[in-house]
Amino acid sequence: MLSEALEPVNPFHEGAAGKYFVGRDDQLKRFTRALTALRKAEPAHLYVAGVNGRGKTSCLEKLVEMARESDILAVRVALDGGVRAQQQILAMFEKLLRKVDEIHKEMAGAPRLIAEWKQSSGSPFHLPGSGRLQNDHLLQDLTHVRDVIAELGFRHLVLCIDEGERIEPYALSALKNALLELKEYLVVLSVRLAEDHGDPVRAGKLKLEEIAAAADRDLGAARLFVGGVGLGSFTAEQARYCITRRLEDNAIRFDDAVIDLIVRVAEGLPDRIISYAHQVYDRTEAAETDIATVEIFRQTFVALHKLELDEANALSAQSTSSDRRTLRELARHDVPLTPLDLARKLYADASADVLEPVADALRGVLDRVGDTFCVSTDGRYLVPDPVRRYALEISMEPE
Amino acid sequence: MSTGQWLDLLSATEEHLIPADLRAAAEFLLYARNPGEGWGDYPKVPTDLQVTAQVIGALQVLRHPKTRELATSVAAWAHKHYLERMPATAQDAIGLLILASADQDIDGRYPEELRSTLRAALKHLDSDRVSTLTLAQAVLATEPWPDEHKKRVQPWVDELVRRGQGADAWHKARLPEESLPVTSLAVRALAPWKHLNAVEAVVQRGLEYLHSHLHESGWESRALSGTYALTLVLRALATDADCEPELFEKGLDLLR
Repeated sequence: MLSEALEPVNPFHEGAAGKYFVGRDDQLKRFTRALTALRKAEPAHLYVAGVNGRGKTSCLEKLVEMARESDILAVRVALDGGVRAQQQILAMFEKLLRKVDEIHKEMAGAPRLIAEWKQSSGSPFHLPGSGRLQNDHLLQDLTHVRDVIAELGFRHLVLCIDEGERIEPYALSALKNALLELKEYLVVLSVRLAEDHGDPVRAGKLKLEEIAAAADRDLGAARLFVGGVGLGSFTAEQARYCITRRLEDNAIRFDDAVIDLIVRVAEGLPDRIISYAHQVYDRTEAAETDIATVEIFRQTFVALHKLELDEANALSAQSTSSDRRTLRELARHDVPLTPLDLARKLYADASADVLEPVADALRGVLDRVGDTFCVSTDGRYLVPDPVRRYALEISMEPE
Repeated sequence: MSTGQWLDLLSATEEHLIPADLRAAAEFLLYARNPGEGWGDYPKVPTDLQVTAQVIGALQVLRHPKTRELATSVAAWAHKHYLERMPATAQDAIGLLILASADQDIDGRYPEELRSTLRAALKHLDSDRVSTLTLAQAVLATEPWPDEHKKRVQPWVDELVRRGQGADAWHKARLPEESLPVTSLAVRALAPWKHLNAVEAVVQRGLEYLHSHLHESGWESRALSGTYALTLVLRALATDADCEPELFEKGLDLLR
């Protein structure tokens, strides 16, 4: 039993996100300010915006944790998509009540709100019995919840709504109308973006305005969220810390080169960093060694990206050793390069008059590769996908 | 006429035995050599072992009269290079062996060291660490060796045969872009071993794959859009006595 207790636990498992939350210091400062404002009855509702995999859910979980540490009741609920506004609000409300009931049971000995919500007659709630979504009903029901939690000693409630981009226009409008009357609630909505164009805050705002506009141009519903918290990619330093932080005091450690490779292939996306690290950790453990090596990372990569590697191997088989050297050099860079840049990197000691014709030849090689791997813009070439970039690099290595 | 003049005249005459459409290419290769060394990826860039081995191989195929002289000079450079830096990869070892063989240095201590290095590099034959392409290149490099040395590379041949016997033969990835070069090189590497029954069967299977691809997709197939792949397929078909001359000529025309 003792040996079982000492078994190392993979620190990259999903449930560990809150414990090892790193790299979002600016965002956490915004949350701290929002909680302070809430305590002063000046709620500044927020949205958290980012493309897939940037850690929106982890951020909301962290906010819930921070609020609870400050004795503020906080819950996170996820919105259902593909339903009408009324069903969406009803489902969200029920999830909210279940979470509040968990705390009610803990503190008062029994749940309360769900039973009241399901009551067929005499319920203090108005939303379930109504045929349509009415602003007043939402306000009255949120007021009832506020009063119930006040009996438990909580003066404020932070409602974190995950998958907030799914919110129906009239649900958003109703929420705004209710929240304008309630100073005890702070709502934080996560907004998943298809693309952030380098500015997730602005992209999130535009998304909310688009939703609000569909509710009879109720743009005030979007303006309810006075601030946006943007989630971009991790910097290389943050990404490294995201891995090393979880390995502190762990029996297994990752070679520095492995951390660099994970950061590079995951391109700073938190969920991908954790996913690669999780699998590298598992393989290291299975190999009964205490250090994750580049070889183990490669095995992980090969298992995950067979298609990209097959394509890269096919390209390698068709290429001469000179072409392979060129493509390998291109794959080592994540910025677009001109053929002359590549020639300089490949043949650093060659003179300028030699490099010019070489660059012409390299252009021919790159043009033949095709856009599965290589794209060119304004005479500069790049392998844009970090997974294909690494697949190409390893398939072009001399054996 | 002095002896030197006679030799120059003889050499010039022999150069005219090189097919006319390849003469300019041969001249380019001679021009592109780095003095006292070998060849780089492009003229006047640093010498590379594999490129040098390929050039010497090409000159041998052309029967260029200066091949022997160049092979000796380049092999000396390569030997010196080897003493300064041991071959780091199987492909480096193959390149050095090709150059030593071209200089007819087959039985000495140096080629034996190279063979031993290559055997060590290929020791994990049954794993993914050794690609079929490298394995085929290694078998090809043994072509000029005497039989007693060839016997020691039987495991490489066996492995190449084993890989060709699977359900998908040498085209596991089902990608013609990869399968055509791999199959072509394997067929060519195994051609001198066809006296072994198992070898003959896989070589035949490989040739059938090449033929069926050419009949279905033609020489203009996307998988043959590069001259390198095209050359590999042509050289593999050249080992097939039953290859239809029209089919071969079409490929050759495309290369020209």
